[in-house]
Parts: sequence; C-alpha cells; structure tokens
Amino acid sequence: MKLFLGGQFSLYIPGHPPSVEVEINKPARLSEVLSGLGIPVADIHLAVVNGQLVELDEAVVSDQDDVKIFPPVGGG
Amino acid sequence: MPYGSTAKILRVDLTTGKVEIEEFTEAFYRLYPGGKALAGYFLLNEMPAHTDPFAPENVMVIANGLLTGSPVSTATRYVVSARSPLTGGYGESEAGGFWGPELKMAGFEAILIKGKSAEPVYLWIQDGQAELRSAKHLWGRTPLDVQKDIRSELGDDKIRVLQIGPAGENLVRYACITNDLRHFNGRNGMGAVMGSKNLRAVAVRGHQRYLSLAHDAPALQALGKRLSQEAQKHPLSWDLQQRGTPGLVEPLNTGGILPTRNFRQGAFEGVDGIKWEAYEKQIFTAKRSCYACAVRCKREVAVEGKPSEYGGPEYETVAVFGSDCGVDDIQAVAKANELCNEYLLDSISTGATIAFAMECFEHGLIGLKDTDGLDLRFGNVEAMLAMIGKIARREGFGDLLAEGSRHAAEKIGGEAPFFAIQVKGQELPMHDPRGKYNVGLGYAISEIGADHLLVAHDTMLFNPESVSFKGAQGLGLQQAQPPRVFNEEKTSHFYILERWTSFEKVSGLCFFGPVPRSFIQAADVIEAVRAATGWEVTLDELLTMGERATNLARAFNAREGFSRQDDALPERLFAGAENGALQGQGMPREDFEQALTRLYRAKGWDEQTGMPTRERLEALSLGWAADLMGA
Repeated sequence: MKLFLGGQFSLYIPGHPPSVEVEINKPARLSEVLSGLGIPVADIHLAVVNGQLVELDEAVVSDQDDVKIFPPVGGG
Repeated sequence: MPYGSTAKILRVDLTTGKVEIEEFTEAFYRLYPGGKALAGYFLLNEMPAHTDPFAPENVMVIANGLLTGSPVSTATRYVVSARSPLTGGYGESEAGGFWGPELKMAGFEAILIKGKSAEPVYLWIQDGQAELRSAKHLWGRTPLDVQKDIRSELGDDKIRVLQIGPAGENLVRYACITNDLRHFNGRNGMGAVMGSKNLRAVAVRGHQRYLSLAHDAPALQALGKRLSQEAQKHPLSWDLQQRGTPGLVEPLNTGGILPTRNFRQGAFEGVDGIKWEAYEKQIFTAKRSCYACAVRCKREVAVEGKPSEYGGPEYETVAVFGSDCGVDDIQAVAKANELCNEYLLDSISTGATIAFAMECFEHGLIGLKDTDGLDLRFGNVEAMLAMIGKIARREGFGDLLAEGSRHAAEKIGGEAPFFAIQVKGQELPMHDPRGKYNVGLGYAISEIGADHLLVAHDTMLFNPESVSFKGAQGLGLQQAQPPRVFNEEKTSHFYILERWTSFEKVSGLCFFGPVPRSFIQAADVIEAVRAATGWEVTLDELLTMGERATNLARAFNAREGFSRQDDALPERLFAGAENGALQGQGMPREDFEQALTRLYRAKGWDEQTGMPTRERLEALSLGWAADLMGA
C-alpha cells in the first residue's frame, strides 16, 4: 500500500519521508495499519483511498491501494 | 517602572513635527498591557467619533505585545491600528518578524501617530531618541530601494525598516505595511492610513536587552530554551516547520473547503499545480524565521528563476491567487505574491477582489470596455497579474477595485453585491466556513471584518483524543464537537477561544505559538507572563485581558454606528458549494442567527444591537468606554 503522509504524520516514520510503502498481506482495517506504524489515529482528520474520502474507522485496505492521510487544518 | 516593559510611548504629531515621550504607570499597564489593548485604548480616547480614515485626525497606533521581544518562541508581534478605510470601523493588523523586538530594544512599547505631514517623511527611532526626516527622495520607490537607502543614509545595515509602498501612497483601501520586506500588516488598509499621513517608513535600531527588563530573567530564559526544544518535537509546530502554511492547500481541497472561483466551489481540479509539492519543486529556496522563533514557518522562493527579495507566498496567497482565481500554476501565484509585496497590497483582498471581478466579468456585469480590455476570466494569469499593478497605481479599472469588493459591487450594481465575498467590507480569507461553523461565526462577529485568526478552527476540536483538543482542554474546553454544528457547547468553545486569541494579540504571541493551533501550553504562557512582569496572573486574568481588548474594539465600532446587522455573512455561504466533499451543503441560516444571539449573551452584549452593555464594560473596568460610545 502506498501511504502519503500529510501534515505532521511523517514525524512518526523513521527518516520522516513524505510517503511510504507499507506491505499488507491480506485486507486490513486502515486504522489498524496506521496504528501499527505508530501514527496517532486521533489526529487524522481526512483519509483518502484511491481518490475517495473514506471513514477511517470503517475503511479496509489492501496492498494495491493508494492512501493519503491529513490532519485537521486549523488556520494560517 | 513595571517589569517587562520600558513603560514608554512615543507620541508623534506629523502636522507640527513634534515628537514626545510619555511614560505610563504599572496600574495602566496591567489593564492595557500591549498590542490590541493599547490600540483600542488610544483609538477610543484620542480620535473624535466619525473621523474620516484619511483625515489627519485619524490616530494610528503601532504597539508591541506584552511579551514581544522576549526569548519565547513566536512572541514577535506588534499591532498596527487606526480607523480602517476599507471597513469604516476599528482597523487592525498584526505582523511578526524583527521590527517589534527592535522597537522594544530601542526603548518603546508603542508609537502613537496623529496629524499629517506637509511633505513625505519617515520616523527614525534609536535608543530612546526619535526624529522625523524627509522622505521626499523615497516616495514612489520600491520597498527594496527604500530599505536600502534608509540603511545607507543612517549608516547601519542592521536598522529594521517598517514601511508602506506605492499602494499605500496611492490610498488603495487595502494597502498593507511591511517590515524587513517579508512580514506584513495586511487586511484593512493600515498602509493607506500611513500613506494619507505622508509617512513612508518607521526605521528603528536599539541595543537594550529584553532580559534586563524582566522580573525573573533566568526563569524566562530557561522557559524560552525549553519551548524552543519543544517546538522541534511537537507535531503541530513540526509540520509548520516542514512545509509552512502552503502545506494546507491539499488537505483543504480534500475536505471540500478550498475556496475556488470566488467561493463558488470547494475543490479545485488544478490543485496539483498549486499544492505544497509543486511549491517545493518549482519555487521553494529556503526556510526563514521571525525573531527568536524556533517554529521557522516562513518560506523563501524564486520568482521567474531569481531569488525574490520579498519572501514566499503563505497559504492564504497561494489559495487566493490559485484556486480562488482559478489559476493552477504556482509560478504565477509566486509572481502575484511578489507584485503585491512590491506594491504593498494585502494579498488576500487583492486576490479576492480580482476573483470577485472575474465572476462579474463571466456573468456579463462588466465587459472589456470596463476592464481596459483585459479578458478578466477565471484562470487568465496575464489579466490577473496586470490587474494587480492597475490596482496599486489606481489606473483605469484598477481605481474601482482599489476601493475593495464591497464598494466596487455597489458601483457595478445588479447581482454584483452577491459576488462580493466580504464582511464589513473586508474580503473573506481562504477558509470556507461551510466546513467550520465557528470560523463563520468569527468572520461575522470580528470587529475588523472577516478574519480567520479570531478563533482556533473547529476541525482541530473534533476528536477528544487529538493533540489539538488536549491542548485546548488546558484553556477550559470541555467537550469535543463536530465542525459542522452550532450548539451551546460550540458557543462555549468560541467564547473561550476568542478571548485567548485576543490575548495573543495583546501579548504579541503568534497564532502558531500557543495551543490549540500549536505547541505552547496555557501553563507555559502563564509562566512567561509571570517571569516577565512579576504579576501572579491566572488563566482567567489573561482571558480577561483578551476580552477587554475585544470590547474596546467593539465599543469603537459601536460609536461609529455598527450594529448586529453588520455581523452578517455573505449570502453565498448559506448555499452549498458547487463541488467537492461538501457539495450542496450550505450553512444553516437559522442556527447561525441563534448562535450569534447565544454568543452575544455569553459576552454580556446586547442581543438586539450586538454591542457591549454598560454593565459589561464596567465589569471589565471600562466604564469610560461606555461613556464614549454613549451606552
């Protein structure tokens, strides 16, 4: 799965890359995949899978998916 | 002398050329500790009611915050205030950079400017002394040349120069002020007020160390050091350090709240051309900072392949000249930004007024004969760039747009007022309140017109486990709430957050410093004020300082005849955007009106007029303001 790390989320991945490849053997809950990477799920405001906005709690992803996550935007 | 302050104000009368120094007492300072509070105090007390914004009687206050220049990251800001030529009400804008701290080092908390000079002048302040000098040779020239010439004339290249540009000289109603060519007091035309007084610049240089004024210098220094380490680690400040504000473009587009084609749409099909990755690849050259700030959110860019002298576009500028004008080219945005900064035009109002004109053009309300032959359609980069210069020079159609979208719409007539996306005459910033209802309430109620920095945005206060909501709990927020709802709890959020942000404007802290938007906890702010001043302050006292400043500004507007009907949002927001994640979902009008009433009640303001009551002003030790506004 290709994961684009919007906002501060690169901070939680070693080397702080803007995106990362995550290997997924079988379909899994997106929130669990992200928690497993050490990303604080409570700070995610928007999740996009293959160009579509999804509900983070419900989304299931597999290895071919293209995922983007963003924090809330608070002005500036 | 109170701790943490020079206790000195510089009074300048441009008509007589007289410059005087005035000292204030600690009792005065604790009520009006700086920035917005000092501005409101002097504007109400020293300006006659109904003064024309361009008349010599308009009073301009430039005031540092309570903590400006201290070693606390983000405490860099000063306020410029006067009656606004754009809104007719209380005008105000803050900027960071290095100029405010330098003014403090030169021995002053604030400058109060009255009158009008017969010929162009600039003010030179150095280590407790000040004088007016001729600026005849500087008038009409670029900010870069003026800064160079002032430094060379005075023989010191460390002099900090605050100045207006050609737009301020030409009285464009949203002309801004810069310091160091890359920090801006924008929005409601403070640059035009300075221009009307024939004051081109204020140059400062000082050598007094802030810490020599502080009550507990070692404690303040230790706090400053701890906070600058914290800024490197905290996720919200870390993000600002990585991408700066241009990183906001893509998430807002994804959420359907990226203002596009004059707020007609919420998502932009050309977003890839203006988002951070395009910015980073095509124009970004370096990161920069304000005085003693570890966040380092500023960006430097190249324009047309050459390093720009005027700093890089912030998110607001990227969105307004990008999606809001239908332009998908970050290089065109960078050029527009550079032009605004060279003429010293507020980039939000310039871009938004052009977007307004583009919509009028596409609807046939204006044509080629009105626009001096410019095909002013969305996405036409050449027309957009040409229009910026015409506005700054007040040339042809630019002369009308230099009045702001509200005035231009009245002149154009027909449907045009519907396309003017403004509150109290000030154009909306680039945050669509259809996705953040308290931001909309803030746009409506703000005394300066639509302002996106009045309260922390709803989206940050949605998840109770998020780092931003946890920060807000330190301010007293109880329950997290969804962004697209108005209810009692949201009113409570607003009332706390507005007082807090107003305190930021009193203290000189940046919106990106304290929680919930960034990393400085409420307890750290209290500690900073205690170490600076020796006052045993509580959070409640800081919130009251913020509330006092808001009430002064509101009382100023009441005296000018403003009332509840001026706290109105553009009609377009009650209809949904044409596309994007929130397509078709407008703000609920009745809920908005009820929220406004609830908020007035929470603030102790009159529910019918929306203005402060005598009782409330007296409770804030501002009974004198009730007398002045006739309450």
